[in-house]
Amino acid sequence: MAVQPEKTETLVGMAILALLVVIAAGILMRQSRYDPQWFTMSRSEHEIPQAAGELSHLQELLPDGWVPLTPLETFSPENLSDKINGKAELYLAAGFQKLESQRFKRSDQDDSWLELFVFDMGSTRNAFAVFSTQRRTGSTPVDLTRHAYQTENALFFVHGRDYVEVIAAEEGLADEMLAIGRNFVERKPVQSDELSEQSLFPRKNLNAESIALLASDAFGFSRLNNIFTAKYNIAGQEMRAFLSVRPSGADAQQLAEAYHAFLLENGGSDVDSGTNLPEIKLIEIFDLYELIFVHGRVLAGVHEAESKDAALELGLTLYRELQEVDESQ
Amino acid sequence: MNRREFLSRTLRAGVLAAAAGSLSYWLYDGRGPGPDSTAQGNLVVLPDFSVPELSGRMSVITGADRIRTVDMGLKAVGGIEAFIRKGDGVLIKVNAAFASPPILGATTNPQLVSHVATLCRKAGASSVVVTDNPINDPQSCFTLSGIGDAARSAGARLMLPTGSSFAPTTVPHGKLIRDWPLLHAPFQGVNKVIGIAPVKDHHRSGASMIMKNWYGLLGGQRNIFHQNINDIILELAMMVKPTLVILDGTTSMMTNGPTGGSLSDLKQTRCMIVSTDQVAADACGASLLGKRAADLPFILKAQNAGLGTADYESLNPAREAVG
Amino acid sequence: MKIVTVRRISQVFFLLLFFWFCIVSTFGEHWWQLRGWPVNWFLQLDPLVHVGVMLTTQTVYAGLSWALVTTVLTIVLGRFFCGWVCPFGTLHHLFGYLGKRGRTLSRKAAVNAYQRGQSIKYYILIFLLSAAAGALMARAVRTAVALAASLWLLTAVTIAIVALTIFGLTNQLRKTGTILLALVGGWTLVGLLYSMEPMIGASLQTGLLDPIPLVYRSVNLVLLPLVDSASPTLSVTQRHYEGAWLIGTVFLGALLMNLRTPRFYCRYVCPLGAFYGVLSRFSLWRIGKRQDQCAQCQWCEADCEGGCEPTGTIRLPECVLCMNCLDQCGHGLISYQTAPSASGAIVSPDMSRRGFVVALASGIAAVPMVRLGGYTDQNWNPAVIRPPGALREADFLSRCIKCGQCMRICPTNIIQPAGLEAGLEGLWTPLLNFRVGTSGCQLNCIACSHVCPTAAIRPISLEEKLGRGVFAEPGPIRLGCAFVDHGRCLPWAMDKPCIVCQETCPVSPKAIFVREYYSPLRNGVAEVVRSNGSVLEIAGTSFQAAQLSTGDYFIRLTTDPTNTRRPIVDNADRVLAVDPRTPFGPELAIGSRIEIQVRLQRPQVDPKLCIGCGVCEHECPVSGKRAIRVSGENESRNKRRSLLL
Repeated sequence: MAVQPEKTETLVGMAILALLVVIAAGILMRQSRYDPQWFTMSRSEHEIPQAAGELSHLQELLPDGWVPLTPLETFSPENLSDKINGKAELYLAAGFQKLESQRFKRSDQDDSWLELFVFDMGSTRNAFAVFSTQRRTGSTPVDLTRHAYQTENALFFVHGRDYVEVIAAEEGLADEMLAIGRNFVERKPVQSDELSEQSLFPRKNLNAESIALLASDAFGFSRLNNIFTAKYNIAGQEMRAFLSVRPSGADAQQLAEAYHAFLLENGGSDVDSGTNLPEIKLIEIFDLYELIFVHGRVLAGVHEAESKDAALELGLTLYRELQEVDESQ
Repeated sequence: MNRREFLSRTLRAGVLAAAAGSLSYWLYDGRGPGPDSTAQGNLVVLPDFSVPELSGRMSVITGADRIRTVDMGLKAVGGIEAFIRKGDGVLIKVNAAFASPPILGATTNPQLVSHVATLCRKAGASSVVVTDNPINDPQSCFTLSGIGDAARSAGARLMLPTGSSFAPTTVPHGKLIRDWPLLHAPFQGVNKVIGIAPVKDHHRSGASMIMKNWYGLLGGQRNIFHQNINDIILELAMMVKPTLVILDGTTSMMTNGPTGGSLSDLKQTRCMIVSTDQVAADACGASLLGKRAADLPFILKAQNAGLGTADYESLNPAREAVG
Repeated sequence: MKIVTVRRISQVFFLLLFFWFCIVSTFGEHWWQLRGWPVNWFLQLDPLVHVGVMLTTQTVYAGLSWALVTTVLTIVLGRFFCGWVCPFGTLHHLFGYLGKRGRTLSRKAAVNAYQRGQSIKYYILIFLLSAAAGALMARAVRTAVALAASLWLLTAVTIAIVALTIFGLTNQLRKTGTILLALVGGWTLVGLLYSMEPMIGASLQTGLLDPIPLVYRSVNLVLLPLVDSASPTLSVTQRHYEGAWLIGTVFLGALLMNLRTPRFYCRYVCPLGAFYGVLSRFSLWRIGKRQDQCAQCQWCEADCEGGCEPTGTIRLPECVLCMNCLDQCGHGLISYQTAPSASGAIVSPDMSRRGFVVALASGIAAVPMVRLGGYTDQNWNPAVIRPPGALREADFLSRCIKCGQCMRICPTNIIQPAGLEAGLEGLWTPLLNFRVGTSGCQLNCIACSHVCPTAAIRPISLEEKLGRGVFAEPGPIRLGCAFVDHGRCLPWAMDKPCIVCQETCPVSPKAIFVREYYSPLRNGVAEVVRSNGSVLEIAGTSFQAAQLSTGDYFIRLTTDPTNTRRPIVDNADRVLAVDPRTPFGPELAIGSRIEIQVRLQRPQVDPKLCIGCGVCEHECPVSGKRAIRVSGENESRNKRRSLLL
C-alpha cells in the first residue's frame, strides 16, 4: 500500500536532514562562546575577577611560572575580621593599619597555590609584636631578615613596618616562598629591623628565638604593655625574663608598683629576696615566683620561675646586664 | 484561476511576513531594561510660583477676627490684587491633614479658606483650587474640617487625591524627594500658589507651620521621611516656591501636636502672618509657640539654602492691631 | 527517503536537543554544564513569547528575534513547528502512538476526526494575548483621550457602527470589523469616563499554557530533580521545588490525555498551536488532495495528528504537517502542494464571533480583576523576594513566562516556583526561599539574570550586583532585608549564645553586628560555701558538669558595685572554677551571694548594609520558622519599599 517516495520527497528530506546537521554544528560552535563570569563563580569567595592586564604590586614579587589566582584584596581595621576572623583582635591591639593579600598559583597547576599576606603594622615594633607572639613552635629560622622563620608550608618575617606571611596550600614550596620573601625585602629597603630592647637580654641561657613583644595585657595585667619577654632555661627550669623601656623613670616605678599590687591582690605574697638590692621585689604566687625591679627607665623582671633561686639568678643577671649597658653608654 | 489564487496568497503571506519582520526590527531591544524600569521621562517639577518684584514682603497683624486680620495683612503686603491677576489659576494648599473639627485647630480654619478663595475670585482668578493629601481618609478630612464646604461656598474647586492625581517628581538638588509621587493633578493650569496653615506644635519637628504643610503634597509611603524630618521640610520648601503664604496664629496649638484633640492644647495667640517669604513666616510663627528660630533646625536649614530669612525683623514687617 | 522518516528524525533530534539543553542548564563550565549552550533557544523560537513580550513591553528583547524564523516559516509552510520541532508535541505524538496501538482503523479514524472543541485553543490564545495587551490598549486610549480629537474619533466610530448596522452585515469581514469598531469605541468611551491606570496592567500569562515554557518548567522542576537524585553528577544535592506536584500533575495529565485522544493538548489547549494556525492562513504550501474523488478508505485519517480531516475539506489551521496522510494514501492522492486542495480547504479557525468577543473582553477584564488584590501595589507581599536583577513587580509580571530556567540554573536551589504568594498572576514565577537549597543567594553569582530569556530578571554584572565600580553610588542590589525575630532568636529569647547569622553574613563590612549583653541565668543565684579564691563551692543551685565551661558564663558578686565579671573555666555540679590567674580577692567571703550570668551577643541588622541574600536565614539554627528571616522590604527594585531614607 505504501507508495514509493517521489524523487523530490527524497531531495527535500535530504535538505531537511542537512539543515539539522547545520543546526547541530551551529549549536556546538555556540556553546564555546560565553562569558565565564555569568555562569561560574570566581574562585576567591567574594571577589570579582580583576580586569585582565591589571597588575597588582604583589604580583611583581612572583618567581617565574606563577600567576595570580585571585585579585589583590585590601583590608582596613574596620573589615580586617572579614579576612582573618577571630585573629583580628591580636593585630588591631598591636596597631594594625592595613592588610594586602593575594593568592597565586603555578600557571600550569591549579592545586599548587600560595597566599601572600602583607600586614602594615605601622612600625617595626608593632610588626615584631604580632610576629613574635604568633611564633610557631618547631619552626626553623631563615636567613632573610632579622626576624624570619619558616614552617613546612609557610614563611613568616618582619621587614620594616611590615609583617609578612606566605602560606602555601601544600608542602614543598619553600624555595618559591623564600624567593618571594627575598624579592619583597629587595624591593623595599628599610632602615633597621633592630629593636633596642632585644639586645638587653643577657645571652646566657637565653632561647634567642623566644624573644617576643607583648603589645598589651601582658601576664593578664591590663596596664602592662610593650613588654619584651624571653625564655630562659636555667638548670632545667623554664622561666621568662621581661623588660620594658618606659617613657620615664617615674613611669617605670609607678608601673612596677601597680604590677606588684596586682600580684598581691590576686593571691601573691611578698618574699624576702635576700639580696641587698632594695629595688628588687620577689613575689610568690601559686607556687611560682615573680621578680620585679626598675632600673632607670626600664621595668624588668622574671615571670613564672619555678624556684626562688632560679628567679633570683636570672633577675640578678638581667639587673647586671642593664647596669653594664648603662655604663657603656 | 489557481495561479492567480496562489499569487494573491503569496502576496498576502509576504506582506504578513514583512510586517512581522519590520515590527520586530522596529521594537528590537538588544540590551533589555535598565536598573530602574520606570520611565524617567515623565518626572514633573513644580515651577516657581513667586512674584519676583514682591519678594520679602511681610505683615504681622494682631487681632482675634481672622477676616479682619487677614484683610489688613494682605493690604499691608500690597493687596491681593498685587498677587492675583485676572485669569490666574490659583491653588490654595490648606492643612486638612486630620478628620477633626475646626474648633480643635488641627486644620486650616474654614472661614479663612473661604475668605481667601473669595478674594482671589474677586481679584479675577479664573479658577481657585483647594487641595491637600491628608493623613486620614480625604473625604472625611475635608468634610469634618469644614474646609470642603468652605471651599465650595467660595466657588473654589475642591480636589481630593486619587490614584491618578500623583506624578513622580524630583526636587532639583534634593536628596530625599527623588522620583517620588507628588499630588500633581491640582496644579494643572495653576500659576499662583497660596499656602494657608495654622500654627501648631509638632512632636517630631517641633513645629508644623507653612513649610511643613507642603508635606500634604507628597504621596506614597511618605512616612519614611519622618526619619529625617528637618531635611524633608527643607526639601519641601525647595520644592514649592509659593506666591504667598498665610500663617494663621489666631489660635495656636501649643501642645500635643500635630493632632491636638483638646481645647486646652490651644492658646489664643491672636496673630495673622502674611508673607511672601515662607521661612520668615515660619520663624515668626515659631515665636507664637514660644520657640526661637534657632530651636527649629528646618528654619535654619531653609535659610542656609537661600529660601528665605529666619531674621524676619529684617523684612520690616508691617505691624498693626485690629479689634 | 520517505518524508515521515525525515519528520521522525527531526522530532527525535529536537526532543533530544531539548533534553540536552535542560540537562546542561547547571552552573559551571564543563561541557555538560551551561557554558555557552543556547539553552533558551526553544523559548526564543516561540513566537508566543515574542508576541506576548511585545504586547506587554513594546520591545523585542534580543534573542526573542529568533521567533521571526518560526513565524515566517509558518506563514510560508504552515504549522511545521508542531509536527517537526516542538518537544512537547513530540512527547504527545509518542504517547498518542502508544494509546492508538492495536486499535482498529475505524477506531483510529474516529479519534482523529475533527471536534468542535478544538476551537477552544483559539479562545485561550485570544484570552491570553488580550490579557497581555491591556496596558497597550489603555495607553492607546490614554493617548486618544489626551488628544481633543478623541471625541471626534468616538463620533466617527459611532457613525461607522451605525452605518454598518444599517447597511446590513452581509459579509463576515464586515461583521468582524463592526465588532472591532464597537470595542474601540467602547474603550474610548470608558477611557473618557474613567481613569483606568491603577487597574489596567499588562499581565503576561501565556507561559501558563504555552507548550514551550510548560515543557521547560516541567522537565526542569519535576523530571530532572527526580533523575538528579540517581546520580550526583548533575546536582550534588537533591534539588527541591515547592509545588512541583502541581506542575508535574499538569504535565502528566496533558501527556495521559493522549491515551484518549492523540495530541489532545495540541488540538484542544495549545495557544501556540492556535497562533500558528492563524498564521498559516496564507501558507504557500499546504496539504491537499489532488482530486476530489477518492475511495474514502480513511487510511489518511488513521494517523492524522492534527485532527484536520484530510479526507474531506481539510482544516488547515489544525494541520500540524505530520505528513502521515501523504504517506498513507495508497492512491497517492494527497500531496503537499501550492495548489488548493481539490476538495477545498478551510483556512480560518473555527471560532464564533461571540466566543471571540467573550475571550477578548474577559482577557482584558481578567487583569484588573486579579489586580484588585493589590499585590503589585500597596498590598504587596513581603514574602515575594525576587531574584537579583528582577524588575519592579508590575514590569516583572509583564515579562516572566514561568519557564523555570532561573530555578534550574540557581546553584543553591533557592529560586522556587511561586504558588499564590504573588497573586494568581504570579503563579510559577520565581521566588527566593532561603529554607530550601544549600545556602542563600551567592554574592558572586549572576547566573539567573543571564539565563532569563525575557529579561524579567534583567542581565546584571557582578559589579552592579555588588555595587562596585560605577555602581558604587546606587550600591549593591538588595533583594530585601533580614529581620531578627526576637521571640525566636536564641540569644534574644532563650539566653543561649549563638551568632551564626553574624558569622555567616557575607557582606563586608558585615550587615549583622552583635550587641553584648549579660543575662542572669535562670536559677543562677548561689551562695558561696567554700572558696580558695579561684575555686568556689556553692549552694542554692546546681549545674551539670562542664555546663558552664564554654567561656560564655561568668560570675558576678551580687554586692559588687563595679559589676566585674570573671569567666568560669570549669564546673562540677556545685563547684565553679575561675581562671586561677585572676582569682577573687577577699571580697568573696563565705556566704557571699554570686550570680551566674551568660554573655550573649545579640544580633542586629544594619539595613544600610543588608542585601537580603538570605545566607543568615538559611544558616539560622532555629530550623523551622527561622529566627532571622529576609523580607521584601528595602529591595532595590522598588524604591517605594525603602526602609531608610
